[in-house]
Amino acid sequence: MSIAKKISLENAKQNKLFYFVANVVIYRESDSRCLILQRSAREKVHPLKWGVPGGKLEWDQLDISKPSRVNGDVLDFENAVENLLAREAKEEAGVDINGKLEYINSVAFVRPDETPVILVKFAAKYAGGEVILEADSFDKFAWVNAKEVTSYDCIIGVKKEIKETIDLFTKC
Amino acid sequence: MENTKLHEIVITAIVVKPSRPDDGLGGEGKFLITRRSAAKKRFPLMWTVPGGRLETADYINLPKDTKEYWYNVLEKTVRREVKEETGLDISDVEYVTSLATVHADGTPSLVISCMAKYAGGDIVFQEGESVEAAWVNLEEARGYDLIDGIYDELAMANERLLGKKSEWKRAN
Repeated sequence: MSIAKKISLENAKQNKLFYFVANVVIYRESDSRCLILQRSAREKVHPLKWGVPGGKLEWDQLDISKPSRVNGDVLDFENAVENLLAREAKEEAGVDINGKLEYINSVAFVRPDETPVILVKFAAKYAGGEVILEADSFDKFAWVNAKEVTSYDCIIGVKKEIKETIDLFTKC
Repeated sequence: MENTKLHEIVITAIVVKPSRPDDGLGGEGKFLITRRSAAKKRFPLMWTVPGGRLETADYINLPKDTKEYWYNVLEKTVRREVKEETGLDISDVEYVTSLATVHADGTPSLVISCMAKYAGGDIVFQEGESVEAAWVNLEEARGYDLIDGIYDELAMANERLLGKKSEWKRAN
């Protein structure tokens, strides 16, 4: 078989297709705090709740003419999640992150429209840039430690993930 | 218009056997590589690391850990895949890197590469999956016909191991 000319779901099996979502807790070494963002009141999911940057993987972001490697008849695009989170951190919060991701946890759930989703939570170090929130998506931001985050109305799991991130990066 | 957010998700594991003085591994940690069966459609007879495609059936009939979520789906999937494919038990699953791929039939996939500690068991192959296995260090891995990119992932896993060791040294 020759390499694909286009990306398509025609030959995929329905029970093996998922949305993949990644989130990243961004840790700032200078003061051991993490970045949280308050979602806009207009957001359909979790309006006004505090969370962290992240987003869905979308294959139309891949340029099929420019794989980072051709592996037999398979086109490879390395660092897919690293690139996704770097892009989301920049778009949503204006900041750069270190490319080395640390795994925090992962969950599976099913959306109301019945699409299965895999959500993976990562931690990464802040690498620079002033926080500039994406207009219409977020209203406020804060850099918090594990104690400070407890006074914010966060999306479920966020407080624990911030504590785990700080533990992860300060233990070494 | 096809849904550009749907992907296959593949999870793989680099299984690491930490070394003890008398275990015949020469005093260093070794990685498990396996040789794919000749019957495999993708990369027959090439050497790789264990792993497999996620299916909703992997978790959909299990009880949820919270009202909406199945937790630790990554760890659970990779543990089961490694057990089925090689007969080995693993622990301490960590994330290494990620790769988006487009197969010859056009199907978009996300490969999540993890590493994990060998926790017990003897190698027993699953019918039709793998035909050989070897425990190798980085140097030895070069002598095998590995799928392109696997060596780089072993090198990344090795770096994480060394990083840990030096962090451990610093902490003490």
